[in-house]
Amino acid sequence: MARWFYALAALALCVLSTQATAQRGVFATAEQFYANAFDAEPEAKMLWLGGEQLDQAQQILGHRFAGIRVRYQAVGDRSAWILDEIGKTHPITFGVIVDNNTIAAVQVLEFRESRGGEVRYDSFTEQFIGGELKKNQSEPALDKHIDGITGATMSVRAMKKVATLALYFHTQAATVKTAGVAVKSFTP
Amino acid sequence: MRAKKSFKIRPLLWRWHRRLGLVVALLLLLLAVTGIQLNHLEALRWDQKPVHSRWLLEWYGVERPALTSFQAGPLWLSDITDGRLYVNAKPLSSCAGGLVGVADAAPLVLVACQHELVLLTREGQLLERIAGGHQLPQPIERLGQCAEAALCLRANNQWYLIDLQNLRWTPTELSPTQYRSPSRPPAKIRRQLLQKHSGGITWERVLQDLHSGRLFGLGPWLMDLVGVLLIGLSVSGVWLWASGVQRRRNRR
Repeated sequence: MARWFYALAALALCVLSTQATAQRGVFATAEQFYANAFDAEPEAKMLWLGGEQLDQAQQILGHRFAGIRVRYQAVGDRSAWILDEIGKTHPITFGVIVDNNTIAAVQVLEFRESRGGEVRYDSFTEQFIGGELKKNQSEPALDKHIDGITGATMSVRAMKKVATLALYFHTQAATVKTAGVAVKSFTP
Repeated sequence: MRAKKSFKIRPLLWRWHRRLGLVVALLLLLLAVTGIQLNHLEALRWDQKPVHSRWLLEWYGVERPALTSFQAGPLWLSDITDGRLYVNAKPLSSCAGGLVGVADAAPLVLVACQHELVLLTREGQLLERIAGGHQLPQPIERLGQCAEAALCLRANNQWYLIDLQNLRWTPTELSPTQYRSPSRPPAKIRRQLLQKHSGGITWERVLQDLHSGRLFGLGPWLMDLVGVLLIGLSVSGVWLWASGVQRRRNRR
């Protein structure tokens, strides 16, 4: 009796560790993400964040945004953002496409946690499509309710924050005069 | 006859019930307080508060950290193995994998950690972190300046030219003509940095060890003993109550 119990426990361990490994991965590179986001060749841009934008970003994320500039790519009123946010312990890399102040797509580019990776599936990310910032609010917030996933609370929370942040950055990029790329290339 | 027998046991049981209660009271208080804290761990953010107390860290066997520092003009960029980048002893950014190099990327300063690049202004303000999504070669081993003022990084024994504008990393056969080596920061900065080290021990860990009794160095046995004593208290308490009821009935 003990033997089959140990065998079952070993099998469960294998399955669980496989599940944990299956969660992690790179699902799209930045190049692939940008290539799929636009029909035409996008322009690489930089959004410089002033005090007010940093404060609002902090309201959205619950912590200080790392840095004072954000890279993105854009064609007309469509922009694509790659942003990292910590799930439980590791950063998750998200790609967000915003079109005319509305979320067109949210994608997980790289997932590094051992659980919560279900957020990358279309059945979950589709909820964000059509999302906008709530009107007449002092703090930026998403206007859509997003159903959570049991066992992926932190990943869901991270994705909601990043989606909201991308929407906010998009509106700021549209209203604030964006600088050109300020860092010189260092290739010979 | 039956009532006389229980009457002899009762005072003895009362005495031991009180003694057990006194013995476990303090430990129960500890269990309750730490239990409440652990129930609200995220709200109270105990998992995000590192321990800085040296005697507590020594109890956990956390040694004084290895310090890596690079100088860039007036800035001392340091790493005390806690995953953070310090600028003049103030935490500025994450530094995933540890600090490996610093280079002049005029007008900016480029900092390389094993799993990310960090761009700073010359005044030490965080400009940008370049981490996931851009296929940064990792783990970064070194940062240098290759021929013709091109910055380059080494990962997996391959040098790559850095294009910070487009975030591209081009394999190259060039070797760096110069690179910065770590150096010893001033005593004041060293002291401030060492005081910030926590070795990954957070107050969440301390609370858990207090709650389980492990912090007292007896493994789980202390709280096991408390459990056994509580069982004794419960049994004796119920028996005393039941026998008291019986006594009152007999008096009527």
